[in-house]
Amino acid sequence: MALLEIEGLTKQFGGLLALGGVDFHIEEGEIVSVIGPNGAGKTTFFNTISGMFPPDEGEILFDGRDVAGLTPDQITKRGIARTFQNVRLFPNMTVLENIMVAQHSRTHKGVFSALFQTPGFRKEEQEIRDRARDVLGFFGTRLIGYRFDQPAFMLSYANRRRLEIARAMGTQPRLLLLDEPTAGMNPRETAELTGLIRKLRDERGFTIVVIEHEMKVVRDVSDRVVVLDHGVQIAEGSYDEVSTNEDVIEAYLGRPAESH
Amino acid sequence: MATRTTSSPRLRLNQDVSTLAVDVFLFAMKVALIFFSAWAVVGTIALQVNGSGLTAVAWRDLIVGGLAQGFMYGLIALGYSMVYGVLGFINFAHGEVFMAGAMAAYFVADALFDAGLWESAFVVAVLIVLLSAVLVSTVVAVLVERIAYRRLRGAPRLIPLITSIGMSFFLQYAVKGLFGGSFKTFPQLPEGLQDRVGIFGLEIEGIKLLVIATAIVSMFGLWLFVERSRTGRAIRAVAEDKEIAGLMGIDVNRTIVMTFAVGGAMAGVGGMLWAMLFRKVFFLTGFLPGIKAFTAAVLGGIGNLGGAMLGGVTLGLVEASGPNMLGGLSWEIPTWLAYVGAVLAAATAYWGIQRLRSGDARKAGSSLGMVVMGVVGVFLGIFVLPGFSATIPGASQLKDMIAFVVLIGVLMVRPVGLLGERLAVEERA
Amino acid sequence: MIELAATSEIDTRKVLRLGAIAGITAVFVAAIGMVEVFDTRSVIDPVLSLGYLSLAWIPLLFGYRVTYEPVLEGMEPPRKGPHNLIGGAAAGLVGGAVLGAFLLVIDVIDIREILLNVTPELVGILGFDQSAAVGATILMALGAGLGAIGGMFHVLSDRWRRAVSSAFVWVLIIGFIELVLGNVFDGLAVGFLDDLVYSENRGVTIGAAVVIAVVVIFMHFQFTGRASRVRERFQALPENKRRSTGFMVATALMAVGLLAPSVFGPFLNEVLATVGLFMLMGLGLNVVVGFAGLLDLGYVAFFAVGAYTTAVFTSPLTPGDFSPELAFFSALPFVIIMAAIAGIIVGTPVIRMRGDYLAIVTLAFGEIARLVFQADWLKGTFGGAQGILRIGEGMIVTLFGYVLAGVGIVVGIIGFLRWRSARADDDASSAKTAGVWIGLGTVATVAGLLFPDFASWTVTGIDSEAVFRLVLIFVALAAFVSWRLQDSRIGRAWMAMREDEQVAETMGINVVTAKLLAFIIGAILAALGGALFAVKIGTIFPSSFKIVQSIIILVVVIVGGMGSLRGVAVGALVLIGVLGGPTQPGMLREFQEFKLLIYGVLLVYMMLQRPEGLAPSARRSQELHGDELKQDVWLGKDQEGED
Repeated sequence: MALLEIEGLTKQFGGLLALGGVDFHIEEGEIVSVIGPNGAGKTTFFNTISGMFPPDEGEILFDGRDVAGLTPDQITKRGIARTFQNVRLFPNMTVLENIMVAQHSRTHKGVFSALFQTPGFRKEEQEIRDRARDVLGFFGTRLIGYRFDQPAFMLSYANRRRLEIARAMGTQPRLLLLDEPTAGMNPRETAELTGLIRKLRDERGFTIVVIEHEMKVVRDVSDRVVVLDHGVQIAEGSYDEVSTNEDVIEAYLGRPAESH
Repeated sequence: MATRTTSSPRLRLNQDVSTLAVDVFLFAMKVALIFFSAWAVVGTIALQVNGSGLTAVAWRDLIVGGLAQGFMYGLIALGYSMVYGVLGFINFAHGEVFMAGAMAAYFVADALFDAGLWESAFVVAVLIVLLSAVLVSTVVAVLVERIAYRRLRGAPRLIPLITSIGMSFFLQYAVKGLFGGSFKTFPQLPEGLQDRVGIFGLEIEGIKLLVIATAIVSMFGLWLFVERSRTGRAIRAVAEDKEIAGLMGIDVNRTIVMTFAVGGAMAGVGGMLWAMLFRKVFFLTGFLPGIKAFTAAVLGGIGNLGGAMLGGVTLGLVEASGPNMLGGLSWEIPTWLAYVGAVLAAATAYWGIQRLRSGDARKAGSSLGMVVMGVVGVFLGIFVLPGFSATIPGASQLKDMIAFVVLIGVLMVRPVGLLGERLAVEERA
Repeated sequence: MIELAATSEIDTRKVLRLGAIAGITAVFVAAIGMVEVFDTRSVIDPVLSLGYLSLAWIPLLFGYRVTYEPVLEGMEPPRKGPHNLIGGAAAGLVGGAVLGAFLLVIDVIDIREILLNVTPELVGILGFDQSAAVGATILMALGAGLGAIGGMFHVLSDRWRRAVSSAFVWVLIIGFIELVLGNVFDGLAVGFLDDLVYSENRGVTIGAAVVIAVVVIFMHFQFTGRASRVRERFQALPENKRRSTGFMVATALMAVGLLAPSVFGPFLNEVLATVGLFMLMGLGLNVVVGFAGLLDLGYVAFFAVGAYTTAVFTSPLTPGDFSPELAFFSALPFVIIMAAIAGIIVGTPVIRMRGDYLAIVTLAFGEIARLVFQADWLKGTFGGAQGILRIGEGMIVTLFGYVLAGVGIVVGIIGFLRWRSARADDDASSAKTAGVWIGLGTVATVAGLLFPDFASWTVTGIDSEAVFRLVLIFVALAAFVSWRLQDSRIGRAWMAMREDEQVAETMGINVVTAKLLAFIIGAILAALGGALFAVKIGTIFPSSFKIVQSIIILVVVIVGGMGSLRGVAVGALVLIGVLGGPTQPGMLREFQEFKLLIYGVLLVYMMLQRPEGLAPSARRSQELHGDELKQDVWLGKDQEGED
């Protein structure tokens, strides 16, 4: 059974049909890219899956259970984590805290244990800290050491992007939704991140959906590519299949007949 | 393929317990609000039919009073709405801008009264008073923007809000310190305005008529200004997107100042009318009308100018008739009506169960709320409500509360107001 | 030549503008009555009264500002020189001229009809009891002189600038706290010091002022950097050492706080009790506003709930039939329960509202609470406008033995938990420590139960000394709760929510519970404040629970620094201690009339200039003065140009 199975996902904003019945599925351990021209509904697709707004119609089955209409925190709890196109960290929290707070749904010590600092509370805090260090270690030396205690706003742009991925990892998900992870990065950083995305799957076992504009990245990371345009899926397949598909080329370049 | 869960006959509370509990609680609050409002309205009508209600004259006076008050709320609300539309924050100090206008009106009117002009040439005097009230309010509004808000462009919403609270305090107590803390009594109006004037076959106090007419004229002027003038177009453009408006060659700073000036002017008109109608002004005059006008702005959809007026009038009417409506609660609910209610509640509960069966998390909270409130409703309808009545002594003391309850209710049920927030651009992709 | 170079560096328009603003500020201060009211209070006897001080700071500040250039990265530091002095003097002169003109006007025309406080006395004070023309000339000369002194601060080296300004500040502080020092001197039986430092007019004698200034400057050069070195060493300590040191400092402060009232007089203790109350409520509001980022403007509602619950449960004169006449401490659990319920009622509807709507709706709840308590409708329960009398009979009695037993049980439980975890980890030394805890706990419990009447402690509402101690214990409790929560899973969740609610939710934080929890904890702390308030005063009226109260607590939190425990303490001490609460007087009773005005100004000033507060949490100061932000400011300046 597929890890995520979506049927007829529809979302309207006022009169604008952002998603017009999208079907989508991803198997455990797969990396799927979602591409499409601007305004194709890719980010809305992510927003709907992650519960930021409920779909108007359609089913989202995660691990066989319907998660449509759940609040974002419950969806995260069930194992879906995401990043944002326009990097939305907690800028005034430290790098380490950004990851620690992401483990919220995996931990459960409440007010009283915090007040009395029970042994269980201390143990959990230590675990949270250790896990955060472990997650940050995934990015080599970029986010560790003195960076642990730096507020996130002091990081470079590329490091902020990395930290956002790390934060998503911190929620201990099964499925990662990465929204344009390489946007605004230089070619060298892009290449490094491409490798990291594969490593995320190979070493950490995440299933990954990526929205990406950079075709080189799409080619290098994806097992399968899904193309959206105007809120509907217009093509699906391997990178080579999709890149030669006429509908896709049309969606990106426009219909030749219309150019007059 | 996907296993279909929608047809599962089981009840599925596919939600977090705390989310559900909060949803149910909110649902209960809404139901209670609607229930009491309905009871009050129906009760008032029933008492009226029984002949134990107010006389037609009393109702007319209530409504006219409410209209006059409501139009003044509307005038103040315009300022809240415009600033919110353009800068996206609540200018808490706007009530004090209004108070400054009322104060100015008092001082000028008092001086004119001493000079004898008040009696000899009333129309000229009132125009002078109006002009000075508008002038003072405008200047205060613009100064507040210049001193406090300009440096906060782009700061998080709450920062300018807190600043405006500080400004509001400062203005109140500055006025108290400068001009004293006692009530100032506005000069007596000429006979003609105190008497009732016949219009459309109704006898209405002249002053209230004047208030309503002036307010309508001012609002119409504002509408023309915003819709037709160059500056008005600039204001609307800046409200849509400051950066792009700037790129299009609009002087954003000047436009924002104009917004404050226009809002201030409207508050000045309101202040002058307030001073004339109630004839009492002091340094806290701006506080309650300010909050109520904000309620009016929210009621009509903040950022929406038409909505501000509509909201103001609605609030004025509700407030005027509210205490009397509370009297409607003393109407004994007939047994048959309670039973009908119980049946309806039972139906609601059943419907809620049906909705729960669909297992759709999107509806879980409200469905559970329907079930819970349905059951409660059945119980109340059968055992409590038949013949039940509530008398609230001193209902008029709760008059100020009505506006607050309306505010909470509106924001709970429909956060974008009656007409929607036209100018607000909020959606983040 | 030098003169020319100097004048060319002075921006005439800026001088005129700032001078005019200075003048208008001075006229405002005079017209509002501050100068006259403050004139009776001497600060440095006989040269400076508080009245003149309320004017003198204006040319000093504006004289400094007029040639102030922000030092920005990558730019030459601005040149210093005579132009600083001349510019300052010029601005001061303009300011003095405006005030002088005002003096000339009010000397001729009587405008008391409109501006109540423009009295002949004011004319006398402003004109130094000379004719108006002479007075105006003196004002201009003084303005220019003070402006030049303000400008002189640019010329001084950094060290001297700091030394001189702290000398100024210390002289003023010592002048202000005559009451405290006088009390302390008397309390310590060294009353003669009082006569040495202070004159009969309650101001510092001029000799003492000079001595203080010299001492402060000397100390400054002797000890500069010590404080930061101590802090560095503290920060270098390992985590657990730092914790225990912090704990020791807190305990020491607590002990000083508990002992302090004995040397203070009744008035000061009254002030301190008020300070403590506001600290308690400030800590509560800090959880809601500072930690969770929810701007609650109706905080007074919870305060009222606490006060009324206490009243109904303890007073023998409750208006209704329900009158359990409990003792204060027995009523507390009900206070907490009612507060939690109120927190839920207010918190639930606002959960899904935007931040600014939340603020206004909570404000509405605050007013609704007051109207409900005031209305005849519920007069049978809450007494309407007549309020409730004889609360807690103004008396609070604790049986120390039971308290001891309670503490013992808690210590014992903690010891047991530690012992269990130590055993699990095979840590013998920890297990031994845990054993000591268990032993102490047992002894305390047994002793407490055997002698429940031992050292029973009576506190009456009029005994401000005891009330202060009681309040202090609650403050310590609230500080402890805030401190522990801040650094925990829930504290981090609040912080994330404050930063970006939507993202926090997608990171798995249930904002519904997080917000409600913040509201409930805030409500409980406020209600405890209300309970103490009720028994302290003994009588409550709905008029004690106006919106002003909420705003003042907010000012305390914001001036101190949102999210900072130290900030709340500093804010409450400085604001409530010096200026006073909404109705309660502070140390400077002269400010009574003007404190709400000053609170308003402070709120605006803090938001514009120091949004992180006086004693910010480490995080906030970093966030608001980070290097990147400095760059942004610089870029912003570039784009906007001169306004």
